[in-house]
Amino acid sequence: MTMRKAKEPSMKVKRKFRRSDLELTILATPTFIWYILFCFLPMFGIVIAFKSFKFQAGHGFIYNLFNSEWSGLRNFEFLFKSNDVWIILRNTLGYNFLFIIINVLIPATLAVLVNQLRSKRVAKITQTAMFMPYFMSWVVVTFFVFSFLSYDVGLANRILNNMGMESIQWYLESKYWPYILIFLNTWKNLGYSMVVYLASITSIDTSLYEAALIDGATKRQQMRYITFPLLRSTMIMMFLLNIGRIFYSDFGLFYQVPRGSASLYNVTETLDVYIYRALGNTTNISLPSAAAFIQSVAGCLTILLCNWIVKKVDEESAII
Amino acid sequence: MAKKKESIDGLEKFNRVSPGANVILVILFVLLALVCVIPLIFIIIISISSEQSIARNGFSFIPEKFSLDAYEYLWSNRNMVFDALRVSVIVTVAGTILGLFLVTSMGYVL
Repeated sequence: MTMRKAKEPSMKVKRKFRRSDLELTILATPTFIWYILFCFLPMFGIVIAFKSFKFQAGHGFIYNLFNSEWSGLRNFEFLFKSNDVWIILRNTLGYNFLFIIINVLIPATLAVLVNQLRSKRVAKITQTAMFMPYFMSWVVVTFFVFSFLSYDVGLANRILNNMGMESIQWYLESKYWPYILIFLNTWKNLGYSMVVYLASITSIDTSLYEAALIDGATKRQQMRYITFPLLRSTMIMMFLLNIGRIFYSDFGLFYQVPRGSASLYNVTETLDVYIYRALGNTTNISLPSAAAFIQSVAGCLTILLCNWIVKKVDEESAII
Repeated sequence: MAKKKESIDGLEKFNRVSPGANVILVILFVLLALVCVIPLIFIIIISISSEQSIARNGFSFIPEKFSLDAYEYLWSNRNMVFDALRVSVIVTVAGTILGLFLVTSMGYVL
C-alpha cells in the first residue's frame, strides 16, 4: 500500500503504456471479465426486490423484469410483519456474536498450546483428529446428534437412566439448545480455525524466541509478548471476515440439527431459517430478493463499521 | 540446512514446557481428539448395525447384531450414488482449477 502511494506522483507525470503494462492487463483480463459477468452484472437483479415480479409466458426474464410493476418497499414489509422478528434478530445476532468470539479465542489458544507439546507426533495426530468434524456435513451431524438425544433410543437418555435419572425430551426442551448449538458449532469449526492460527504461529521467526530465551523470558512471557502480539493481525482478520456474515447463519446447523422441532423455534429460528420457511415454497422471487438484499446491505455495513473501528485502534490490522 | 535445524533443536531443549505441563496438555488434546473422532466411529458402527437392534436397544457402541443392509441398499442404488459422486468431483476439480487460475493471475497483477 505504501509503495503504491510513493510511486503515484512519478506515474502521473508520464503515463505511457509500457509493454509490462500490456502483459499485466492481459493477465488481469480473465478475472476482470469474470467479475463483470458474475458479480457486477447480476447486481442489477437487486431491482427485483423493489418490483412485484410477474412471469408472463412467452417472454424472457429481462422482458418480464422491465414490465413488472414497481412495488416500492412493500416486499420488505413481510420481514417485519412477523411477530417473531425480534426473536429472530436476537437469535441471529446473538448466536453469531458468540460464535465469532468463541471461534477466535478458543482455536487461537489451542493452537498456541498444541505448539508447545513435546511430542510432535501427538500434536500431528490430535490435530488431524480435530479436523475430522469439519468434513462432516450437517446432515450427518444431525443423525449423529439424534442418535445421542433421541427420547427412546438415544444414548444420552440411556446414560441418564443408568445413573438413576429421568429421561429428558431433548427435542422439546428449548433450554438445552443454545448450549448444544454453540457446542456443535465450536466442535465443527475448531480444527479448521486451528490450522489457520497454527500457520501464522509457525511463520513467527524462531529467533525472536531464542532472543527472549537468552534474556531469560519464561514460557508465559514468551506467549504474552511474542506469540499473541504477532497472532493479533490474524485474529483481527478472522474476526472481520466473520462479522461480515453476522446477519447470515449456518443454515445446516439451525435448520437440520433441531430436526424442525416446533417447540425449539424460539431458540433456533434465525434469519436464514425464517426466510427459508416463509418463502421456500413460493414462486414469488421478489420477496426472497428483498430478504437477501437486506442481509447483504446489513452485512456490508457491519463489516465497514468494524473495519473503521479497527482502523481507529490499530491502523495496520484493518483489511480494507 | 541440517545444521541449522540441529541448532534450533538444541535451543528448543531449553525452551520446552515442563514435563508436568506437557502431561496435562497431552491429556487435554487427546480428550479433544476423542470428542472429535468418537462421533465418526459411532456413525460407522450405526451404519453396520441392524435396524431391529437399534429399535429394540437404542443406539449403542456395541450393537447386538451386525448387518450390511444399509450398504446393500446403497449398492442397489449405485447408479444414482455414482452420478452424484461424479457431479461433486467434476464441480470441485473444475472449480478449484478455475478459481486458482483467476485468483493467481489477478493476485499477481495487484
